[in-house]
Amino acid sequence: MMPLLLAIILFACRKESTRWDVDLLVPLAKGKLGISSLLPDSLLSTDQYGIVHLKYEKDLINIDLDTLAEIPDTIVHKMLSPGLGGGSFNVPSGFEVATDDQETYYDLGSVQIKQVKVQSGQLRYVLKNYMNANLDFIYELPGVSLNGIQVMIEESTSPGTASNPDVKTSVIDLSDYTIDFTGDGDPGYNTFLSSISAITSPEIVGGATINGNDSITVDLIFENVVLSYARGYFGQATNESYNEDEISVFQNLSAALFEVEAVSLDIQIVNTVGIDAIFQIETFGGRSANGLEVVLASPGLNDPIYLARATDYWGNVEAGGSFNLHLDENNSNLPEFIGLLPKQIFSNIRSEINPLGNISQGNDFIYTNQPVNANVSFDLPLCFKANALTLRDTLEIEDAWDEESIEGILKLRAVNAFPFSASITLKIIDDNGDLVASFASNKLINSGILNADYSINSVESVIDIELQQGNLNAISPDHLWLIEVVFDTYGDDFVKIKEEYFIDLRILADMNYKVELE
Amino acid sequence: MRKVLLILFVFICNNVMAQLNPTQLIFRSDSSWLPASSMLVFQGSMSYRSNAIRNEMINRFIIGGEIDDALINKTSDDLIGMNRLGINAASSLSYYNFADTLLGSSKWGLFLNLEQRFDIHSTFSKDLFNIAFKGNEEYAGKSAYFDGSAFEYLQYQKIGVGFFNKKNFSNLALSYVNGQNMVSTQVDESRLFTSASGDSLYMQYNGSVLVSDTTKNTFFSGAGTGAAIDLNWNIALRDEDAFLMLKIHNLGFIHWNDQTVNYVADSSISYTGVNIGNLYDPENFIEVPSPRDSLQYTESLKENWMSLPARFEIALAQKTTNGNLVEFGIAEMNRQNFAPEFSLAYHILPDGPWMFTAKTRYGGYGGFRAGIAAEFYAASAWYVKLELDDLLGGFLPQGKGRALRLGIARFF
Repeated sequence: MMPLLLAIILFACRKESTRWDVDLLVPLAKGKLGISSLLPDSLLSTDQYGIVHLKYEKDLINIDLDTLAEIPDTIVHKMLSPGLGGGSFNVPSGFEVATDDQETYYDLGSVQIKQVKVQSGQLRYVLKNYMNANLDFIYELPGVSLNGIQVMIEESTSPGTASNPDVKTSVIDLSDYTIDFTGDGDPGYNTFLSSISAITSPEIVGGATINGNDSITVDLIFENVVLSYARGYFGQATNESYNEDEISVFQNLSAALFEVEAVSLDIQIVNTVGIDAIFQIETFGGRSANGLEVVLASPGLNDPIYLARATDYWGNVEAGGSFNLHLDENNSNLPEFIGLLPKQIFSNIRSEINPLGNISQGNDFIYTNQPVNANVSFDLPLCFKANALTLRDTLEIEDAWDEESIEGILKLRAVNAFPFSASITLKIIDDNGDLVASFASNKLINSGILNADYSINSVESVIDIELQQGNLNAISPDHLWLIEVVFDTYGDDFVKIKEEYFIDLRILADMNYKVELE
Repeated sequence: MRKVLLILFVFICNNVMAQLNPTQLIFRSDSSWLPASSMLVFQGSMSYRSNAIRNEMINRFIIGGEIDDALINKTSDDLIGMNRLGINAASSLSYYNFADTLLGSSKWGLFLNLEQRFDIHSTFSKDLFNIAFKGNEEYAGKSAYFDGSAFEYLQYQKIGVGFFNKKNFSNLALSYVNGQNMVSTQVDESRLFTSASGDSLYMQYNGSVLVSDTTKNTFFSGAGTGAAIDLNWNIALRDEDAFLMLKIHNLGFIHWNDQTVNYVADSSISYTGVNIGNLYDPENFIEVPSPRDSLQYTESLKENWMSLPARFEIALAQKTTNGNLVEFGIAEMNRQNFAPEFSLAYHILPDGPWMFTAKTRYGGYGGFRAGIAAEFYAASAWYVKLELDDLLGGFLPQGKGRALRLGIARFF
């Protein structure tokens, strides 16, 4: 009874919770952030002076076999019959009921393929016997060989009917095979030779009874063929290629002002295929997040570039013509381009192959592992001045805030050894990007003090960010964190970012937490 | 309703016991109950006492509400290095048989007893209180020490049989004990250090926690079994001019089964917050450590033998010239946080059915207090006892304990 009474007193009659406040100092986060924490470190390098460089490389255009010629999937489809007419006929064992030497020509426009080498893929054959006879097939492909040995397919089929043929199918692994398309020499390209014969099986005593209209069919199909080499004449063609590509390095950055002291951009094109070509970079530019565009301008950038063909010395390719163009702050508007912190690069490139026609007598070649490669790379030494350089990104919120009684401050203690000041803001936004809550202070993390020799004296700042219950309640999986870090460089001069610069952050909560016992 | 409950709760009693010890009946020469054939007794008590925790703070835990900073600070100011808190509640139902004889002696009879108990014994450092109720901010740059803090919670039942002296109610009982629930925590060398700037915490922790099998925690079918002895020995001296009273209550043990969880820790942990990584890649922005993985402790299942919280008491009462009595007593328990408790009582025995007692105590879980008791005996019919052990402190918010003991006996 008494414990029951006690329990009633302690719990049942309580009308409200027991509450008290505790003042807590709790470390929340820490981190020593270098430049590799602010930019993707895979793109960073350091020069002999310790200055960090941001290097970025991107393909401009590729001339590959896919863009030059297309090998047909089905190279042979043939139906054969005894050619006797009427029927039925008794034929002895070993009787040749059908034979054919076939020369298949493929119309590839101006492209004239003579030979290809297969890196991987299969050749599928399908034999269908509609005759009422056991037939033995011999199918020769003189143009398909491995180390000089030609492919010969031998298959035996059972009797079939017009509605229910006996089907034999299989695949040949074509890896490392050579396929010759010169045929019997006239015209000497795009031609595939095959020879087939079908005889009644010698093992069947008494032969067979066939109908003169019975038939057999044969199909040859390339499956998943990847070529490693092609030779022939790839025709004359002109192509306009417009490309837009995201440039990830600046994806989360924006700035009111971003000026660089030096920057260089190199365009390099090397012709490693046996085809003469002319390239012309008609447009090359960048586009910022808000749609501002800067088109690169520099002497020679937009001129047509003639690149002579490469030479094939029995598999060793000697590159032909090449083109190098170096742009920097002295010969181009590159600083303006970089100052845009472009999110996209766009280019329009005109290319023309074999401008002089078939001067190789059908001996253009391409090794697919050495296509024409044109790439652009820029090297940005991190010597810049910036105003409101903003690194911004979002982070999903996994759990809702379930504490109801917290108020206090977040203390951010920063020892800054970077030559720029910074402010850090945590915001909560909804799916539309609209601001829901903000955790911010109007105080800055002060810049480190830069010395003449680019050494730096760190500066400590302590920033208080007020925690309000209303803001904390906005922490919900329906929303997103928006992390915003805004930098302003030290002084009016360009600052050089060195590898050893860092910012040491410590974040702690100095809060009043209401303990509540229900 | 709250006021009623509070009034109930200001009654104070600390010596909770199962067997009836009707002081008035011992001290009086009257033996009018002897012709009774039997007696049914209900006793109940609830109490808490501390040398540090004020009633007004306990009130907040009982009826809810805000514990404000002023109260926390006053309580904190009252704390000494190590502090004590005891809470217990008990109830029992007993049947005394006056008709039978024991071993051929008509002076002795048998009795049965059924009892439910709930005990908390706690010792805590001032720093532990401050961390729990004030937070660690005021400890910036220093350590809060928890060494020696302990907590024990026991819930158990006893069913016993014994014999008693029909004249002076001396009695001895042997009980089977059912252990229902148990949590026992012992904190050894432990401290929490908060750096001056608050950017790091260091905790050294050394201690153990025992938790009884939670799959078996029902009334009279718990995770532990044991036995206990209770003794009241009342001896009249000098032709009943004086009385020596020896009491041993709850001397026994519980054997908790092999599913008792035993956590043992002797380690330290340093915490400086989660690691901020790559601002460029928010997906890897934060590396959150797992506190559970960081805490080092061992967990095992094994049986445990535990002594019951036994109370030993001896008192000597001497009649005065006017027929009243002066009593001096001392009590001790087998729990380290219970200090020896001294008592001095004055019993007034007027003509008629009443006896009144004024009693002062010092020690136990608390400090000095003065209480009263009243006993009523209607010949061969009813005996009622109500006792408070801190008359003023029980009502005052700054008091540090409250209790009520009620005993009702009916003779048949």
